[in-house]
Amino acid sequence: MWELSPVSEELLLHVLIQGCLWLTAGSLVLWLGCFGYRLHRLRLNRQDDALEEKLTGLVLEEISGEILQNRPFLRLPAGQRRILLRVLQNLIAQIKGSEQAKLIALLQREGFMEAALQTLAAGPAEERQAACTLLSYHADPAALAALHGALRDPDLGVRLTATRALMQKDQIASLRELLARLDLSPDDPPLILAEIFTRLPVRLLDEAVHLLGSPISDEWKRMLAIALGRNQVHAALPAIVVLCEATVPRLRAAAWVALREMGDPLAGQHLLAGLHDPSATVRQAACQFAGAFGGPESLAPLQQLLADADWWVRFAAANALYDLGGEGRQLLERHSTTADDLDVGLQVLREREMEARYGA
Amino acid sequence: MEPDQMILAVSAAAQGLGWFMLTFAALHHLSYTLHTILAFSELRRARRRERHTLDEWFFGSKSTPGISLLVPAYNEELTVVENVRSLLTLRYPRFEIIVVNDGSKDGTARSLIEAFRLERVDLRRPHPAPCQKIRGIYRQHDYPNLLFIDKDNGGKSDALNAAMNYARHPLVCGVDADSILDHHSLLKAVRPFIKQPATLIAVGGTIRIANGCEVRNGLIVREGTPGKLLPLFQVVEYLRAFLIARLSFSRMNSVSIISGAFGLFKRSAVLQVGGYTLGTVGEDMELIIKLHRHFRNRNEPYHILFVPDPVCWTEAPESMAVLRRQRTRWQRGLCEVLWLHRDLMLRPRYGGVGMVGFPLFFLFDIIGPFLDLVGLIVLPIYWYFGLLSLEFMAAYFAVTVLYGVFLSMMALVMAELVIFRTTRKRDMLALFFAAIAENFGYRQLNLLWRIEGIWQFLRKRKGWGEMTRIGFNRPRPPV
Repeated sequence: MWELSPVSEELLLHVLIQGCLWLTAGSLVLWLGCFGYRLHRLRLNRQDDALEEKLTGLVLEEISGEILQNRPFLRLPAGQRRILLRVLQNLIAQIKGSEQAKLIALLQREGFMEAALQTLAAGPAEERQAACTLLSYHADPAALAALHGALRDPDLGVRLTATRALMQKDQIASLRELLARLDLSPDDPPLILAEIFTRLPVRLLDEAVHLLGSPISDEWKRMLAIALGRNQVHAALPAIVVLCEATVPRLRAAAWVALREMGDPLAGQHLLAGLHDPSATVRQAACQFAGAFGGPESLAPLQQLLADADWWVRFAAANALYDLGGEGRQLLERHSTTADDLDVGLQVLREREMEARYGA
Repeated sequence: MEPDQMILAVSAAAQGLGWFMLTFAALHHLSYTLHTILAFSELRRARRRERHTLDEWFFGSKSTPGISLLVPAYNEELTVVENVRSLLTLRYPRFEIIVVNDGSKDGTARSLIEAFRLERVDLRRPHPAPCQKIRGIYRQHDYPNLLFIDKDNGGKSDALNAAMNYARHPLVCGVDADSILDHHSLLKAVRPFIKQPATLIAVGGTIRIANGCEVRNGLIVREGTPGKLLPLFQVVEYLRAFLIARLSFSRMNSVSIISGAFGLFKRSAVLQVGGYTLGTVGEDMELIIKLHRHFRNRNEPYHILFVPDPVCWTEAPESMAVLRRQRTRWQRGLCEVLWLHRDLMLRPRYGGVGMVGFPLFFLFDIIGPFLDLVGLIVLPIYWYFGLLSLEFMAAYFAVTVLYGVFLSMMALVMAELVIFRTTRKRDMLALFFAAIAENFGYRQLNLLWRIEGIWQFLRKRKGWGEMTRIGFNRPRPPV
């Protein structure tokens, strides 16, 4: 049988004791380091808060027209100018009109635009993003060049803030070029695309429609279709209608969402296919379109869908019949007279009555 | 047998048992050290993954997924109104709150209906997740994102299922009615869902102790530490559990628990596994294991993550009796889940959960308390009778107690890196003291409660036991 010799036993115990002691001592020292750093941070935070309050007062006095003696902002040391930058950012987001113009003038006078340019070149991500926001209030070539440069920033948030600023200034020449420069990876959230596509300036919409018809990833198509629908770009209708026959159900459902957002009744001629789609999500989206823009030809398929296997499709079909009004609502009421208490038709009638009472 | 031989045999047995105990304790803590290393690694990854610069985009986007907050309430009359008010102020673009009164015996339903002037409405939805009979559904047009469901008592799982059936949004978030969510917690918890919309099915956040914090209008306005020892120890315990154990399991994609007090789930995934299993005590852990099992069986890619910075605050028990009930219940819940899903144990098909999580739980949370307790009682006796050396006892003390101090300190360091924002000097010193002191008595007491929980499980005791709530910022009853 394996046995420890007295020497090795003693050694093992010694190693265990020493190991635990050193680890514990190490962790205590580490914690003490954290404690010291925390105290330092707390002191700095207190100073920063006090300074922020003081500077906010000074800036408000400055833009309210009072003449300040000795230009106090110029004398601030570099660390405190960081706080002033924060104050100005907060104020510029809250103040509008002529006072905002005064703030922008103050930013220029105090050299914050140069500071923002420097931050954009070599600051932490949050500050680079803030710098992009500040630069978006300037129209000179240096600010624009910096914002164009920020499209290649390693941080996606900074790139998107620069994109938004350039879009506001209508400085994006081409959507394809923008997407290429943003260099979005499959790991980046698809929602970001939706945001870019939704905020596209009118000038780029034609290109966006072309892009929808070109071979891009399904996720991009989905986001682009919905964005074009939301922006009511009717020129995109043929490309979106093509998506109604895509092989991926998520794409087909997105196409029907886009068509409803677009509100083009011309899409109604493809509605039957959507209402008979094998995917419940697509049928549900098509029902919602039918409720908003369907004609008399959609009554019969919607009535059939009141017996769909999926509860939510039945619910959407009942809502669509209600929304169609007239004959649709009569169909729903007739259906409800023969249905049991848990039927969707009855449920929709009750909920709509409730909504009417609440004014929802 | 000769007396000399007998003495030798007893001595050898004592030595053998002593070394077995020491090895087990060392292995136990070694596993925690590995957890700590993995937790730091996951923290680095999480830092890279979470881009705070995108938050404003998510907040302002029409495409940010909506969240239904599911709030089961049972005898929560004291805290429920304040907590719903706090939930209503959360910073998130699109969310609804579904409060479920699970047949409370106190005035939970009445206080909610009166406070929010709720009116009964006729709303029916299919029940893909089983639940008890719904007595009534209430809402108020002034609070369009608040829905109140009054139902027969069926337990927490049943209440969560009922809320899930009425949820409108693709993401659902279970929140305890006695908890307070940080203002930005939903926005922080949703980030991974936005990034991995196809494969992510659940995200858990950190639970922190609210005792000692200043609460105003249902919001934590100043972080603080409890003035009493028992909740103070629990603060360190929670930090250790969340910031070390769960982060490290997240690193291995084998998160086995997302606390029922705060967890965000993809609704469709939860409904695919039939919602919460009724009649379970550890319903939160059971759901996660069901999800692992379901997606592994179907060979579908999925992720369950723990992200440390979304924080939910909860009230910790301040009396020994209530804490004991809570801990025995947790242990029963663990036993129940391990038993229900015993076929996952050591099965490579179930990945980290089957090969790492389950064996560790079984070894250190089921067998461990017995061995640790035996070690604490028997080894000093052996030493007293000269069967073990003083060096041996010192080594055992070092491995069980000093190592515990090391782990608690690492949890405090981690908290400092991740979640502490406004901790004051006084609070840090209190936590420092607690991280050392909890190793002398409190952890040993927990061993007893764990053993009691296992005993109750073996005797098939069900039920939650009475959980007395004092309520945030309310006068404490005299001790």
